[in-house]
Amino acid sequence: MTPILGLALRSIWNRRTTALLTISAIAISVALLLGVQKLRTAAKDGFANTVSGVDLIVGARSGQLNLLLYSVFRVGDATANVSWASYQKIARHPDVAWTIPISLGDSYRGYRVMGTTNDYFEHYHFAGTRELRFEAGGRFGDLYDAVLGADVARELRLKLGDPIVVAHGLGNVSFANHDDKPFRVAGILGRTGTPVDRTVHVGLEAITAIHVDWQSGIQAPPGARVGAAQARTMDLTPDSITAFMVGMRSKVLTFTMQRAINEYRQEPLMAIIPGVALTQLWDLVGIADTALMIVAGFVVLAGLLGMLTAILTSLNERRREMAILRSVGAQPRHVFSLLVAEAGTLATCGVLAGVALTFAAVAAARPVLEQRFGIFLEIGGLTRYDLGLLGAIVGTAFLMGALPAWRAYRNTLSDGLTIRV
Amino acid sequence: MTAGGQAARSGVEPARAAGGPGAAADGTSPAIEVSDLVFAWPGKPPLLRIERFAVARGERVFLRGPSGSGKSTLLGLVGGVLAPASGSVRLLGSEVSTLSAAARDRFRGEHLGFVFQMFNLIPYLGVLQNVMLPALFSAGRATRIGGPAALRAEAVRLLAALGLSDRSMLEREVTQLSIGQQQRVAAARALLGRPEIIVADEPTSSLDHDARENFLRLLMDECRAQGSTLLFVSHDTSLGPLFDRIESLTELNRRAGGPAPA
Repeated sequence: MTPILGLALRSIWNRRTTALLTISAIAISVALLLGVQKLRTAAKDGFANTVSGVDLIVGARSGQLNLLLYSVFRVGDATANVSWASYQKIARHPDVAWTIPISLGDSYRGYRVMGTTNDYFEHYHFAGTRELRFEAGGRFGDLYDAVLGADVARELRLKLGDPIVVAHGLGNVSFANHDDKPFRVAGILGRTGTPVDRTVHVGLEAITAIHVDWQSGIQAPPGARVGAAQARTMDLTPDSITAFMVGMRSKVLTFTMQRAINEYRQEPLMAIIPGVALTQLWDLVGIADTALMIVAGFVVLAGLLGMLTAILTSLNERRREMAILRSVGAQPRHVFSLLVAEAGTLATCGVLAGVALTFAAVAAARPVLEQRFGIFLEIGGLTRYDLGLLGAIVGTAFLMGALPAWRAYRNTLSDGLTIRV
Repeated sequence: MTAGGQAARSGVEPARAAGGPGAAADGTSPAIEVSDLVFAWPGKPPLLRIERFAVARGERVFLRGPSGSGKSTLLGLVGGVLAPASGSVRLLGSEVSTLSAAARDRFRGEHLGFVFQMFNLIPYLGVLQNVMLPALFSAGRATRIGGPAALRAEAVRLLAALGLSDRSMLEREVTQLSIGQQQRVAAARALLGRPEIIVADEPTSSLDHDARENFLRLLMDECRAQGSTLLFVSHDTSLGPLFDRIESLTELNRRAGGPAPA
């Protein structure tokens, strides 16, 4: 069939303006499909990479997703706390390498305030092995030091040394402020693309300190209050924390520890494996990207239909050409394969151009996506799934080419050698 | 041209038959032999009833027929695009009417060359590529020339023989050629690979008078040079005297006449 392919290529070249438009339409639709596919993978990976290096997250017994949402995504509230004694007992377990305590409940201008320790900056990882990085300043030095996530600092235009007053509770506008014990910005974290960017971090003891003269959500009357300086002298060990993250000495010990915590008798606790819980959560929110994928699929179909239209439209003016081919010995099946080859060639060129377009777009959009949205796009090659999609597109084009090819075949049989002008 | 015409008058020249090209089983049987042919389009009364029509090898026959006389249908039958309802179409001694459609296509590609009234050329191929086109579909014609290496040289030779020797023209787009030039390119394509039979269907109708005769002389010279039979179909009888024989399709066709021969 090589002579036929040669003829098909020349014929396409002869109608190169139409062909170029057809190829462009297919290329753009293919690039859209691949782009959506790439973003989808990147978003899913980014989601799964929200927290890494943490083997278990432990909180009061509730739902797996609930615990994940408030401890990692700062969404929702804990139903109960974990007592300091239980935390200490687990933290000192010989199989446990490190723990990060988390204490939530206050906010700063809409951003959640999280009480923790310097271990957080040490052990918290995201996107595989990426560590928290300081854009400015450093870890907690003083009791009233605060470390801001990248978004908090940028959107509120805060810089090192600025004072911030934490509000009691989570409302955007709160009437109960901890204005007697202001914090100072000691560090600003680099962008992570995770909820860390939208968090105000303070020391665990500081959480105790600002609540030392509070009872049931109300501050003591002015006479009975404890000043900021006075609080420094007190024992600021908390009675309880909201949750904590655990790093095991060995990954294989994770399941044993998880079971032990879930069966802990002194207190109703629950331990979750972040990766498993994240996947479960993605299954819930991932429906949107499936819809996007379906839309992209239809755009590809539209591109292919455009090609079909272009070929079908050209058929009538090409009847003469087919008759000439027959007069030199072409069989009707040659005419059939000529048109199928044209459709296949157009689609293949479109797909290749689409792949090139995708790579160019990814290379161009990568820095912006990473900077603004914390989505890390892989430049890397096409996945097996991508190749499957592209193969299906070319296959569909060949099948579609059979329609004009069949019509040309019929024309050829009825026209014979007589060229009807 | 009369001298050439007389020389071929005898129709079956032993020398030509022996040295003639092609793979026909029988070198002396007529180039075209139609007998007891009946053809009808589905659901219509018979369009053609031809008792006998034969063209000897090397003969140049002018077939006269007004439009609607079944000319195109007869060419379709000779070309192997159509199959008769009954009767026989023998080309070079082979019965083509009983061959399969694909085999008829191959036979046509191998042994027949066509020139049509106009729009003979594939618009997206260059002049040379148009001339070389038959070699794509017929291995036999490619081999007769001497293989792919000689193909281009033969195409250039044929074009020159037909009066297109300008080198720059060979690379030109066929759509930029004049009608006369296009017809010569088409003739060169029909002649490429020395097919035994050349069928020309009103090839001169879109040419002016002087160009007509000039074109026809060149075509006939080359047909004689390579021993091809020429069946020339036209309604314009002014060119008739240049041929060995003139036949009228209306007279050949007995469809309107008495009862069909049994």
